[in-house]
Amino acid sequence: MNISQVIKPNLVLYDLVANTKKEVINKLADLYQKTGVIQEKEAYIISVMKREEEGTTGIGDGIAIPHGQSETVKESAVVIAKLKEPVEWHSLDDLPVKYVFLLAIPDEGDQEHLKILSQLAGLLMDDDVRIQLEKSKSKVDLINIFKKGVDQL
Amino acid sequence: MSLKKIGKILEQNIMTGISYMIPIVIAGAVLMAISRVGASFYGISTIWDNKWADSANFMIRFLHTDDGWGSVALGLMFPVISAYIAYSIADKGGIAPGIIGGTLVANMNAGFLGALVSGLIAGYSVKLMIKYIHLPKAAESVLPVFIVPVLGTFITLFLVQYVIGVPFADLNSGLSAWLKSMTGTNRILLAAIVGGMVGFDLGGPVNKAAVTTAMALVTSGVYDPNTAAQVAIIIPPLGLGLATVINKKKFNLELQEAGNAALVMGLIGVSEGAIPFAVESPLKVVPANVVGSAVGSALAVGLGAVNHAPISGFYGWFAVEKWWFYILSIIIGTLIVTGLTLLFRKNVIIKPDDQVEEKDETNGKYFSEDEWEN
Amino acid sequence: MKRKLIAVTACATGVAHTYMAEKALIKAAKELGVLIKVETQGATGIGNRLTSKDVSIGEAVIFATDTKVRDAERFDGKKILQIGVSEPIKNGKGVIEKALKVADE
Repeated sequence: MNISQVIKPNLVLYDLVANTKKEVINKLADLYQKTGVIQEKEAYIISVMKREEEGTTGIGDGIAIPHGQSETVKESAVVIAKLKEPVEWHSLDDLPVKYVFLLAIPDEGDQEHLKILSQLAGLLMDDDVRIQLEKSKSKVDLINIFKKGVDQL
Repeated sequence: MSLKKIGKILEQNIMTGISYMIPIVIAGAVLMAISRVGASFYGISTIWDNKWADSANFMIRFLHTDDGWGSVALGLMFPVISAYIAYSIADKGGIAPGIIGGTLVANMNAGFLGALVSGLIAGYSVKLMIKYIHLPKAAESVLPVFIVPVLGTFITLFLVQYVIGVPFADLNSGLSAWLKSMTGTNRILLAAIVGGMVGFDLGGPVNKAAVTTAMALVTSGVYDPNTAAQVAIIIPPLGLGLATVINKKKFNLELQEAGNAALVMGLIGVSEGAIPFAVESPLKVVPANVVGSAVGSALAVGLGAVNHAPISGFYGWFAVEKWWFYILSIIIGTLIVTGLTLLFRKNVIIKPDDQVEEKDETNGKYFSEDEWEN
Repeated sequence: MKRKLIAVTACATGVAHTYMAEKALIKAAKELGVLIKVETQGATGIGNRLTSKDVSIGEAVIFATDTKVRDAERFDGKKILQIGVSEPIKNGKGVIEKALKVADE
């Protein structure tokens, strides 16, 4: 199993339009519900917001990695979204967020899958990956960053 | 929590326990098998009998002692599985009640199932205690060093002694008596079922259920299921591996590679070697495996081969009673898997592998172990 | 001889921040010419578990954790810098420098 099996093209969005952090999470959770990753959107959003309250998931350089762990999540997944306009996220570096990686984590997860999500999180700390994110021009570019990225791991 | 989840957690805990127990069973069973095979050269079939301790022949005395060593190791089987199931549930705190409960199970002769339950009781009673007993900060350390071991052990022993012990002991002796009393067709049928289960999911839950039950029965002196299981473990990888050698055209490059690996894994007794094939086309591979394993197992038991040890690899073959029939059964089962597989599969068009991805193992390490230590 | 540190990272969910903090610590240490070994205590278990040898070599231990450190008794007697798991992600070099200071105290 590798990262490209975790990143599903139908869970990658380019130029998502949203004005607030809440709206971003709400829209992405919609996508999860439509694709059957989660069953109850409300419960999932509550778990994501609870995590945000414990401390920001904006990790700097315009990247945020919010995540919710809940019984309503049927399989672990990640949705990647590049926002059309950055939104305020109270990030560690106080910059607004442009790239959102929303993780869905089941209560008892398939370990293999979770490991890969962890690798993905680790990749986001890599300067090269951050530069490439900034350069990406399309959905395909976004997907390719992580295809390449994981080969280096 | 759903029932399915509970099942999954239980399976995980029990598998942890089993994985810690297996080395002990292997060590014990091999020591015993050596002594029994060795004794058979002297025409002795009861080497465990105390009268051999005073034999004039040093070899016979030693074989008798060696059999005793095997018993010592196998005697630890129940305490260890109980301890590590508890460990899997409740970490370190589970081990003491688990190991003590498992020993009581062994003394009461409550069998493998008794040991599983003892481990679960020990694990969950400790887990609940840690979760629900809250002491003032100053007295906090009393919990892990005193309350958990004492109360946990007491609860486990109490339940094993007065609740589960006797019924499980009855179940255990009933089951082994029933299996031992099996003759003729029933024995062969049982062997075929065990073989089919083992071949079905290659190291998955059905396979593990059959193999561990078979191993546990070895300790009660019931060898048929074990013989069947050990034959069945190696037939799928050998059969599929052989198929890739005989007709390469039916397999893509990856499966050809996997075929070589499967042959080696088969010889050392790892049925997981067949997994790449089962993943690629389960509907063709699983039936072939089940049929081949079931026939091989039924033949081995039917022809009177007896494998006393939970070892399927080739290094265990010659310790099997009537090993020639045993190997013959493996060959026949293997050929069935090979034949059915080749029959079911069509030729594939092989395209050259465009690139071989290399994985960098250093993964973020920027210094060597030497630099770290000096 | 290069300076040597050890660290444990852990967060509540154990999927994201644990591993980002790990990478951040390694990156910052590398840039400062410090050797570091990082143990991750995540949802999928303990990664790169520190051996007792590692523990004895490390001059100080960084706990970048939002949850209880598992098997913390391994580090009894070591100099410890306790911070939140986000801290290295925010300011990796600062954390390494602070840990070196703790080691020198």
